[in-house]
Parts: sequence; structure tokens; C-alpha cells
Amino acid sequence: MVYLDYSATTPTSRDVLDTFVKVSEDFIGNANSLHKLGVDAKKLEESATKQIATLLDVQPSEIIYTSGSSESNNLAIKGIALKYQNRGKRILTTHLEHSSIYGPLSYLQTLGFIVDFLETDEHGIVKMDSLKEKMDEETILVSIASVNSEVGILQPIEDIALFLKKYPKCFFHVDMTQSIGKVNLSLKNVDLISFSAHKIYGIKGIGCLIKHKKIELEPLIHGGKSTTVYRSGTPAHPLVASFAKALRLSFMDLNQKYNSVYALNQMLREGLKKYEDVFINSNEKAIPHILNISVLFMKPETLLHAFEEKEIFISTQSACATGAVSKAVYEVTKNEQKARHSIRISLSHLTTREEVTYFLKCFDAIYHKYKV
Amino acid sequence: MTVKRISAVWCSSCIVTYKDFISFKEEHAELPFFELDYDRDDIQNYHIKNILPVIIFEQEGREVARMEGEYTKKELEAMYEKISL
Repeated sequence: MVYLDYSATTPTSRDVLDTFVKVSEDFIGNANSLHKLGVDAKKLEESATKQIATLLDVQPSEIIYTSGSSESNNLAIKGIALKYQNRGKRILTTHLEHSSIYGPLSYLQTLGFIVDFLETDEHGIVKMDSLKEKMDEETILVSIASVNSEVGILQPIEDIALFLKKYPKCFFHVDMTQSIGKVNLSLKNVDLISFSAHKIYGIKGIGCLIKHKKIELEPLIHGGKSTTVYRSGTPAHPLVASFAKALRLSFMDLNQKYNSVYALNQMLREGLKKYEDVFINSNEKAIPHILNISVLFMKPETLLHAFEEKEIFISTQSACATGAVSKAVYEVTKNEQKARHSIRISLSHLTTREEVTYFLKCFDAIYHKYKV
Repeated sequence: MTVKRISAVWCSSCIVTYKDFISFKEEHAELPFFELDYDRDDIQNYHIKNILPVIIFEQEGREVARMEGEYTKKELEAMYEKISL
């Protein structure tokens, strides 16, 4: 089996799983309980939270645990909009976001919020001129993904954050789901950050919203004590401890892992460039972990299943937006055919050269079979 | 004449066009409007391809015009005028 869908989710690391099992078995209490078992669970959860805070250079009180990035994105967007609507009702975003950004924005539109889109250049990078032009005193939130999940475009988050400092009444939310543990990014001047454990070899079911201490949010879930007032529910201390482990491991040897993925990406690009009707949509601004391509004579679903028959697993678009033309691919290529026929190959430091070689061999066979 | 809009919450083009659609809707209070969700409502009979949003104009239950993808209010008005003649 060759797994090339690491941007959809990653296999849970054995170390992470061991932490989860050990904590689940040894710390059986509810962290909200007053007895010793509860206190022990609480202490463990606090210790893991401190580890995460240290790794991210934030305060433990700025960490809100959620079920994953979709919830984090919803909490950031709806939480800010509903709390600060007296300041203004304008929100800026891009055409390169995940559906869990568009979902809450669609909802807020029905409540009278104005959503506007920033322009991007020929590489899919947010144009600073567009940001300058569209920002005003009514804008309360700018939400941009650091890395687009389909094409892999890395946005200049630090520059955008620096510019937005001129607007203290506007908050900056960054969906870092596809960049954390893959690239080094400064979190300075960013007000809210979303990410998820299962993209970094952690367990599915826990994510995080980092929220600057100066910010208030309207919670999505009301009632019940938890680790913060912004997200109720029994603290999931085994998940929190395993999340801390996953994050720590993801930060280890980051450059080495990046270089390994970069080499595999180059191998793929080199192997695919000989096909005249195969187009690589991930440009030089994309991270090497994601390679989006379009095979114009094949439906993406057909291609996906043809690979599946050979035990190779890839994606058509983002796993959460199946059923439509890829807006992200269109935004980067401005070509509807490419946007209709795109597939995503996503790599990891766990991917081997042998796996990429096998992929290219199977690609060649599928290409010639269907080209007729 | 009936106007139906089919959209999805994950579709950024639906967000882009929402304001113009609402403005068009408000200026044509005489028309019945229906907003259908791509994921939640039964839209099988509308044969939606891979582009959203979709605006369907119907007369006596029969589709007389369709707009797919992003549109402006001006384009909506133009289409409405064309089929109203």
C-alpha cells in the first residue's frame, strides 16, 4: 500500500498512541472532579498544555482545545464576529480557504455580515495591494490559511500580520492546519490560529484554537466547566497529552523532514513532466508536501480509483469539498479544465523514494491505458 | 415566474454572489424565491453539474433559464428581463 494522502490525514504515530493509551489507563478521573483522581488528571492536562504553549511560544491560557480544525475555524470566525459585531460587520478572506472557513462565513452572511475576498496574484499569493484597498474601519476579521489544502500555496502570513497591526480593531485568524509541523512560521502578530492533531500524526478528534489573551470570543458550546470558558465539555486529557506529544515530534528535525519531502516532490515533478496533457498546478510558491496535478482526459474520480486498484491512495480536491470544480485550482491556474480535472498527491517524510517510483510506474500504466 | 438558487456553504462563489442575489430578491418582492442547499435539499431533479451557485428561473413549473457560477446583479436583471419579454 502506498499512501499519498497525508494532507487529508496522517497515520497516528506509535509514540502518540502509546501516550494516549497510557494516560487513558493510568489517569481515569474526570479533570473537573475534586477528588484525587480528578486532580491528577487535571495536573496532567495542565502539564501537557504547558508543553504545547512552550512549543508554540504562547500562554497556556491562550489554548482552546476543540474537536479539530473545522471546529477551531468555526469558533474563531463566529466567535469573533458575534462578539465584536458592534465594531463592524466586514470580514475578509480568500478563495483558497477550506470549507470550514466558508461554512461559518456563509452563515454569518445570513446575519448581515459582509464577506469580501482578497485578490491573489498569478501564483495564488494574496496581493498586499488588495488587502490595503479592502481594509477599512468596519473590518473586524481577516481569515487566511497559511497553506492551501489543495494546491499547497504558502501565504506570506508574517507580512500580512505586520500590515494588519495598523488596524488594532481587526483580528487576524490563520488556519495553520496544513502548515504546522511542516514549515517554520512565526506566530507573532497573529491573533487566532487553528490546527489539528491528525494532520501531524496525532489522534483524530482533537484540535486547537490559539487565541491571543486580549481577545474575547462568543463560545459555540455553552455550559459545563472545561479547560477554558470558550469551549465546554469534559477535558479530554488523554487526547491533550497525545496532542502535546504529536506536536513535539512534529517539530523535531523539521528542516531535515522538509528537505526529504522536497526531494520526493522534485522526483515526482521530474517524472510527470514528460506527459503533454498532465499539468502541475502546484507552483513554486507551494510547499513540497502537496503536489496538485490535472490530467485533462481523465475524470479525477476515475484516476483516483485506477490508483486505488494498484493500492495507491490519493485525493480529488480537499476531502471536504467533493462535488465541485476546484475553486482553489482555478484561483491558481485560471483554467476551468484544470480545475475540473485536478487530483492531489500529498507527501510526508515517511514517504520513500521506492513509493514515489512505484507511483510513477503506475501513473505511466494508467496514463497509457486511458489515453486511448 | 419562480426563482430558485442552489448553493452550498462550502462554496466561495456562493458567498461572493449572495449579496447581489439578496439585492435582486429584495427588488423583486413580487416573485417567489426558493433557496436550496446542495447538501441538505433534494436537488436531484435539477441536474446540477459541477458548478455552484445555480440560479434557475421557472415558469409554470418548467425551467426557462439557468445561470451557473458567479453572476452580478446586473446579469441577473438582464436574464430576468430577457425571459420576461
